[in-house]
Amino acid sequence: MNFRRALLVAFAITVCSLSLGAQTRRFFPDDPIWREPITQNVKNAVRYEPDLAYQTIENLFWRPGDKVVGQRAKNVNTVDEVPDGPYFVNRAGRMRLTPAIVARAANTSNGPAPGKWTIVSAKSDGITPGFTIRDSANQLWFIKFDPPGWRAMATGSEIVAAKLFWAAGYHTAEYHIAQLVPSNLAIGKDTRITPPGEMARPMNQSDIMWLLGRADRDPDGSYRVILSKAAPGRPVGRIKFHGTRADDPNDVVPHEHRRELRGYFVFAAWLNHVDAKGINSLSTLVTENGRSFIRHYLLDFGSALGSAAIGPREGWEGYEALVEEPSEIGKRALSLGFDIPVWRTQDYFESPAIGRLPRDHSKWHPEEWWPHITNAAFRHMRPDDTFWAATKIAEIDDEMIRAAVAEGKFGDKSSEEFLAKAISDRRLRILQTFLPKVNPIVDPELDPNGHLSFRNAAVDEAVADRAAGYRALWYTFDNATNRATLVATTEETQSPMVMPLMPASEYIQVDISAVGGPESWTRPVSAYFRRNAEGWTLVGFERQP
Amino acid sequence: MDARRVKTLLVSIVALLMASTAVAQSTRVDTIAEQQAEKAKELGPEGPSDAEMIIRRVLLSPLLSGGDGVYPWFGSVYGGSGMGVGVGFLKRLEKASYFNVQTGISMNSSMVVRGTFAAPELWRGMLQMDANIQWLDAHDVSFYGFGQGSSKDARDSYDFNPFELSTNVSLKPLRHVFLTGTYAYTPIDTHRETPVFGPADSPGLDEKLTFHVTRAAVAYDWRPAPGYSTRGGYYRAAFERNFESSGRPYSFNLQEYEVVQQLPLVREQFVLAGRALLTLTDADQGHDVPVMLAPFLGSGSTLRAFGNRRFADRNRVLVTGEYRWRPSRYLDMAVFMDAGQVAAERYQLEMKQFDVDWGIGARFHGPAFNALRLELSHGREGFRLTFAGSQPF
Repeated sequence: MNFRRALLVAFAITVCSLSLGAQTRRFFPDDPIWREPITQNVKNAVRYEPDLAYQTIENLFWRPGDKVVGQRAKNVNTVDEVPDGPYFVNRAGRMRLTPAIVARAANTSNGPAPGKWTIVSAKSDGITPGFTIRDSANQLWFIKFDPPGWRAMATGSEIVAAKLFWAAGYHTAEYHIAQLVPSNLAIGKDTRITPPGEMARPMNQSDIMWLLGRADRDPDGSYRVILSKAAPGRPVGRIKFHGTRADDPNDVVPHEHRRELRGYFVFAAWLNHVDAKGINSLSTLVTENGRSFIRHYLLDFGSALGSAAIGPREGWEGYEALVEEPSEIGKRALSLGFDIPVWRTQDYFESPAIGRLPRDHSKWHPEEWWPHITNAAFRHMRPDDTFWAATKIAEIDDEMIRAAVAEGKFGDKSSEEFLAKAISDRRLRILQTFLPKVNPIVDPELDPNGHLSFRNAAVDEAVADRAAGYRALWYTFDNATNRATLVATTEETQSPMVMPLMPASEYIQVDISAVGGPESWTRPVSAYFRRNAEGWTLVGFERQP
Repeated sequence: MDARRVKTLLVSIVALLMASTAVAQSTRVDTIAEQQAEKAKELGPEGPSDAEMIIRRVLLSPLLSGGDGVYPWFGSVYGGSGMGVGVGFLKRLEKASYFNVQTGISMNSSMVVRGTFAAPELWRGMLQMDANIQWLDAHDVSFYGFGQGSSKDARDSYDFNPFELSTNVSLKPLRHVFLTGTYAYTPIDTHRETPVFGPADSPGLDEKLTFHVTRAAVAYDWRPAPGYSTRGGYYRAAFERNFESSGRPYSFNLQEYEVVQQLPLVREQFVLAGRALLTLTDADQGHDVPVMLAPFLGSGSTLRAFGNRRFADRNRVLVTGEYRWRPSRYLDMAVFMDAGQVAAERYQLEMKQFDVDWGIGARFHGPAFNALRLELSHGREGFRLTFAGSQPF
C-alpha cells in the first residue's frame, strides 16, 4: 500500500467508525444529564397571548400535536428522569423537602413593601375583580379577591395549590395572603380602565369601589387578598402543550413529548386544578448568567381544590371536560336520564372557607379525572409518565400537605382539616393507581461487591403487596453498537440480588422484573451501569409503559 | 513506508480523530446543543395560526362578544313566518343604557325593522325605561276561524302590517319582583287576497285599525335566568287595555295569568317543569276582539303539534308538563305533553274539551340562554317538527 492510499484508508476508517459510534452510541460520558442544556440566546421572542376559545375548539376538534400516541417522553435523561429546565426543577425526590420548605415554596420575601399600593391596571372584564399594583419598592404584584360570601376559598385554594405545585417541581410565583384597606390604594397617573360596554378611560376612585363591590368584604371594611409577585423577566406568552415555540431556539422537544407536561395531568388531578390550561401559565424571557432564555411558570390556581374562583366548585368539575364526550352524551340521552353521573349523587363537603369538594375520596379514580380542557401533552401521557409523577407526589407527605394548607389561612379549622385530609386521600389514590400500574422498581444500584439493590415504589408506599421474588437478566452491553449480550439469569426473593460472574465489560445491562406480582411487573425495567474506578454507576434506566 | 511517513500517518489519524470528535458530538449536551443551533437558524415569530385569527375575529363580533357594532341577527320576524336572518347595530352607553336597531327578513319574505333605546338605569338598576319603534310586514299569517272546532282545511291567511311606538317602565322594588307598565301606539293594517271567512267571522281583518294599548304586569321570577334555567319559578299577571281610536268596534280588555314551575331532582339531573297559562278577554259593549290580537293556540310554545295560530278565540287556557333530563351541560332532552283550549266564553273552557299533544325534544343551550330547540310532537292532526331559538316556557 502506498502512503497516499494508506492515508485515505485511515481517514475513511476513522470517519466511518466515529460516525457509526456517534449514531448508535447509547450513552455519552456526561449521561445522565440533570440540567437541560440552554445553549442559545433567545433574541426575538415577542409576546403572544393565545385565545382561550380557540384553544378550547382546537383541543376539542383538531387535537393538535403529534398524531402518533404511545411514544416515550423525549426530554427524559438516560435514567428516565426530567432534567431541571425551563418548566421544571427536581425538588420532590431530589432535594430534602420539609414542611417548612413546602410552606415557603417560591417565596423570597415577606410580601409587598410597606406603603401605598399604586394601581397600574385593573381587571374589569371578569366576574371577580383584580388589580395590578406597584408597591413602594416599585415591585409589581397581582391582586385577586374572594367572591362575596366565600372568604378565603379562592385565595386560600390558590396558595395551597401553588405551594404543592412548587414542591412537585414546577416554577410558580411568590404568593402572599394580605388584607387590603381601600384607603391604601392609589391610582397611577396613567392608569386606565375599560368598564364593560364602555371605552377605555382614566381610572377613578368610583371604579375601585365598583370593582371592590364584587369581592368579599370583611366587617372592618378591608378585603382579604392574594398577592402574587410578577415573575422575573419579560412576559412572552403562555405554555403551549404541543409543538415548540417558533422563536425559542432552545425549545427542541415537542411539548406533548415533555414528561413534565404530560405528568402535569397527575398533579392537576391530585389538586383538582381543573383550569390546567395554557392561559393559566406564563412564559417569560429571563437573562441569567449572560444567557437569555424562556422560563415557564404555572399560575392562577384559583380554580383548584374546592374553589371555582367565582364560587364553589361545581359538581361536574374534575369529572367531566367542559364539553362531554359525545358517546357519553348519547348514552345519557338514550337512558332518559337514568344513566346518572357519580358527581350528581355523591355527598359533598361545603364551607365558605374552602368551597365544595366530594366528602369521600377513597373511591376516587384519578385516571378518570378531567380538566376543563385537555391538551396534547395529556393525550400523549403514558403509564411511565404517570408513574414518574406519582413518585414525586409520594415524596410530599401528609405533614407537608398540612403545612401547605396552613398557608392558605382559611380561618376555619374544621374546613382546613377536611381539606388537608382530602388532599392526602387523593394523594393515596394516586399512589394506589399509578405506582403499581407499571413495574415499580426504582433506584437501582450496583455496588463494588456486585450487589444489585433497588426499591419497589409501590410496595414501599404500601399500595401493593410484595412480589414473591425478582428475576434479573444480566447482559454485557456494547455502548458503541447499542447491543446487549445475555450472560446469566438470576432470581432472588428480594433486593439485593447478587451479580453473577460477568465477562469484562465497560457497561452491563440488567433487566429486572418481578415474579409473582401483577402482570405489569413482569415487564422488565432495564438498568445500565458503567464501570468506573470505584465500581458501577447507573447511567441508564428505562421502564416499559 | 519510511519512519517519517508512518509518523505523518499517525499524526493525521490523531488529527482526524480530534476533528471528527469535534464534529460528531462527544457529549449529550453537545448533541442537544447541535439541535438547538440548527433550530436557531430557522426561527420564526410565535403567534396565532390562520385558524386562530379567524376564530378571534368571529368572537370579537358584537353578536358573540356583546360589544358595540354591527352584528348578524337570527331569529323570528313574526310567529309562523319561519326562520329569519338580518343585521343589527348595538351601541352601549353609560349605566347599562344602549341603543339597538335590527332589521330582518324571514323565509316567507316577512320583514321587520325595530329599534330600542334603553335609558340609563336609575336607583341602582331598580328602575329602567325604554322606548321602542317597530315596523312589521308579516305575510301569510294563519287564521282558521274562531273556536276549538275550527277546521284545518278552512285556513285563511292575511298580511299583517302593524307599526308600533311603545315605551316601557320597569321597576324592580324587591329581588325577583318586577312591575312593568307599557304604553303602545299601534296602527295596524291587514290585507287578504282571497278571504275564506266573511267580515262577520273575521273581525278586524282588511281594516285599518289604530290601537292605544296600556298594559300593567306584575311578575315574580326566581329562575336563575329567564333564557334558560333548571329551577325556580315564574308567576305573572298582566292586564291590558286595547283601545281602538279610529271609531271601529274593536276595543277590549285582556287579562293573562301565567305560572311556570321547575322542580329539579337529583342535583338537576332531572327537571319536572310545568306551565299553566290563562288568557281572558272582555270586549267592550258591542265590540269584538280582532283576529290578529285574539289569544291563540298552536305554535312551538303552546300546542306544539298544531300549526301556528291553529286555534284562536277570545279566551284560552294552556297546560304543559315536561319531563326533562340532562345528557350534557349543553343539551337537555324532554318528553312533554300540552293540553289547551280556546273558547268564546269563559264557561266554555273545560278540560274534556282540551286538545292534547305530546312529543320529545332536544334543547341546545348555554348557561343562561337557549340556542336551539328541536322538537317532534304528535296530536290529532299528525306530527309536527319545531325549530326554535327559545325555551318553550
